[in-house]
Amino acid sequence: MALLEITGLTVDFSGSRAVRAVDHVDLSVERESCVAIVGESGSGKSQLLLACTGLLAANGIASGSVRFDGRELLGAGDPAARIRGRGIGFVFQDASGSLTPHRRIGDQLAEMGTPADAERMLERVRLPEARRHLSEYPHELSGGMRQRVAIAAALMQRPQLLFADEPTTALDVTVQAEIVALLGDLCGELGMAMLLVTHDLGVVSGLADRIAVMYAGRIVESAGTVDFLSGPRHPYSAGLLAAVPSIDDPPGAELRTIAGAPPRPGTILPGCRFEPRCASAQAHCRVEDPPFVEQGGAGIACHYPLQRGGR
Amino acid sequence: MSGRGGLWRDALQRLAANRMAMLCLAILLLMTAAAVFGPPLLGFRQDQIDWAHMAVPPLSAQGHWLGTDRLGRDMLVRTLHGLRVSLAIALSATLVSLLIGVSWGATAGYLRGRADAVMMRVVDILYALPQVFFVIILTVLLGRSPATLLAAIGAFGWLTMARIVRGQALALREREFVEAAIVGGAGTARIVARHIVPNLLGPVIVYATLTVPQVILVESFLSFLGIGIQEPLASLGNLIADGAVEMETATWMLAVPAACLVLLVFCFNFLGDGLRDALDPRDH
Amino acid sequence: MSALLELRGVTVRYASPGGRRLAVTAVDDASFSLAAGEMLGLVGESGCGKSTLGRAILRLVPLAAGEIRWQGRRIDALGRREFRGLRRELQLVFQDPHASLDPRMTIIESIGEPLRSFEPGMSGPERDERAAASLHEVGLAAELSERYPHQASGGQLQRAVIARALICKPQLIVCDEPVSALDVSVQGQIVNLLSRIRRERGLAGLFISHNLAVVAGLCERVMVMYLGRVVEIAPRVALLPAPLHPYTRMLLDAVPRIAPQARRPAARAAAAGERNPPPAVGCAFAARCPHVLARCRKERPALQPMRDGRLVACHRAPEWPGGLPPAAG
Repeated sequence: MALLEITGLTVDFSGSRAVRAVDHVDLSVERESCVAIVGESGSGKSQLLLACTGLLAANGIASGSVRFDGRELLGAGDPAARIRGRGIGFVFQDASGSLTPHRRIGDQLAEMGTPADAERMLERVRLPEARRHLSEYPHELSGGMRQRVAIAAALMQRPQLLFADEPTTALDVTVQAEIVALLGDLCGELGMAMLLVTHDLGVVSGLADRIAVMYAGRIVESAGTVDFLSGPRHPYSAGLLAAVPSIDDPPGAELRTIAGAPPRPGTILPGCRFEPRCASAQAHCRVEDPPFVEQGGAGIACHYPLQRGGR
Repeated sequence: MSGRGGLWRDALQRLAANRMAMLCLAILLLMTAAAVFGPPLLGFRQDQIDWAHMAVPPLSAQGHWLGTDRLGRDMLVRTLHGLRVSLAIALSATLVSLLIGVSWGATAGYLRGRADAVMMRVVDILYALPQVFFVIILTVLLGRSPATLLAAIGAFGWLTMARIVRGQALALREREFVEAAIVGGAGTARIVARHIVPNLLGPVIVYATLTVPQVILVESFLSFLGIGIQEPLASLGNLIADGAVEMETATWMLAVPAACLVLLVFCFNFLGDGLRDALDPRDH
Repeated sequence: MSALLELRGVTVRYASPGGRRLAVTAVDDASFSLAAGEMLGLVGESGCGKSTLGRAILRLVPLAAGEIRWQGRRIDALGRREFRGLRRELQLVFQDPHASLDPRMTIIESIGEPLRSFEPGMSGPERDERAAASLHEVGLAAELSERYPHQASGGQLQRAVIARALICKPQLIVCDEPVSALDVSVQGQIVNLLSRIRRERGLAGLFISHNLAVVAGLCERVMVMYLGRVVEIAPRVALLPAPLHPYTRMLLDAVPRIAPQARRPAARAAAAGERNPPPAVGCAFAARCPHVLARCRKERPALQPMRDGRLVACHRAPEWPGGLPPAAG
């Protein structure tokens, strides 16, 4: 049984215009493995994570099932207790999501254990001079160091699963690589699983065992990272991978891009949601929404997937 | 949804959907119409004395729906006249506050630095002066008339508006589209008029709507004290003053103008709230 | 051939909030030149001063020291009115397209706005026509003209911002992180657009970004900044394979490579120097530099010319004329 089992998760927002941010997503995270959800704006990836942890906005309604170690998480009372008491840690994009600015770091960490634990955890996240940092305030540290502290805070209660929402996006590039390396090592050392949400394929490449690509609220492809990076099968995944500018590209070359823009949340299209932007779309795609089909550890929602290894 | 004015149309639609605000707006329009057209239709003049029916309660004498006062003048007509005067003063004073306050505040907030400091010190100094004291002085100097009252209230009413607008303008100044206008060669006047003011109209309109009842109350208070509108002209304030004297024996003389005042202030406040909700552009 | 734009010793300081006497030096003694039609990339991470430098060129922030010359003439000391006439030659594309367009103006009104200042003789319909032409040139559909910013996507808005910047035919366009706020699948559209327009119009550009991969693809020459100081300037064909400054090397090493078999390096400790503000004495990078010497902490290196038109601010640069190799592991 997978550690985290998401089945048919749907997130709707009520209001002047009803919006479906996440549409019947199935996803599982095995023990000690790292799954990355990749998507752009409007993909629903952040809402998916927030729904799992009960942190959705007041007008958001999550339905379906999210089972952690067999226990249902959705609709199960106080979110904070859900996260900390049940073996799940959370790392936000901005450390200020987990650290209070007006309290010392040591005090905040010690809430979840002892001061000695706090110091040990700061050492674990490779912060030199850990003892000195205990008496400092978050704003006295650089962005990268704050994020290490936020990771330490998430790990204080030895979670089995770590949720990470764009953990490196707000950081400088030279620091991003270090945080990615840190997260990878920690997962190995502590036997922890991770569900990572990001738009950055570079982060995914360094951390994830499996990738799930989301577009307009749906998962359109999921596969092992190595297979995926060798040859994505969904036209959107292929386009996304090709669009990332590489420093090894010949100078002056045109960047590859996907025409158009992701659909705004709340616009409902018949047929495949990617069809307006898809280079290999056929008439059938405009009419019928492709179902997500899993086979041999990989899944895809496309009527005419690309051949593996081709573009 | 496109076209110039599309944003205002959006806002109007949101306002129209707010039933309470619409109700208040309807009541206000009704009251205004009554104040303007009512008295001629009712047949009595506001200073007309009905010797036969002095101090009669509502619905007891012919034609006097809301009774008469001590001097036999019709309560309804007097109240409507009072409403007219109060509304006129409130609306014009608010308009003056708006014009002066918005230009002053927007310019100060945009210019920042020393110009801003000087302009806001002026506001601070005027703010510190006791308003009632100055109204009394002005009244003594210029005589008691609605014009004096308007000048006195207008002279102070723009101060808070200027402060609010300046705060908004300071924040707007930092926004990138203002920098873009500077890079695009626009001068101070154009930036303030075309970029800063339209983007703070939301809070300004809301505050103006909430200023109107405040001015009405100030005017009523001054008239109540005997400083503002004087007999035989009626204003809600001096009507309440007269009514307060007769409170125990002829309750309607107080109740009628007081109820009118309360209803007026209540509706303006609610409308202001509704406008604030409707004008918030982030409401998507 | 005189340079189109030249900066000498430009320094920008921000007063620290809270009334403390300590000012933050956002840009410290920056010097470089830009030729007509050249695209110069400016890279660096947060706090390096690249955005501030771009704004200083456009006189959105005042200079504490130094000179800015446009076509040989000093422009930093010009009066506000005189400079305003010059503004049509120097335009700016901002990072966040949603923030750089007035939410209460339609897209076509925003695009045409600079014409009001720079071509006051134009009538309203003439302005609209020019704006429509500019809209078309950046590849936007005509029906977008009457829309408001909140009704368009980030990519469309950024095209509108570019249309507005180009409408008065400037000679230099400063692009401050123009694609950082956009989705990856859309970034390429804007980069390609900028590249095409630059080629067609012979426009000079300063392209500011933290993304070295994008900059390297678009710009012939690249300038690297660290904590307010210019540390290296070189043609991209020389910079990428053989960087001369240790910080440039660190930046290049940190660029993630997306490859199926990429091995992740083991986690290192956070560098102690990560949070320090630039030191008053010595090289700004000394706290993090793997090649640091005692001299580096005492003496600030000046930007010195090397072979092939390259400039580096590092005491030890002459020791590795072939550039620094990638860090191991």
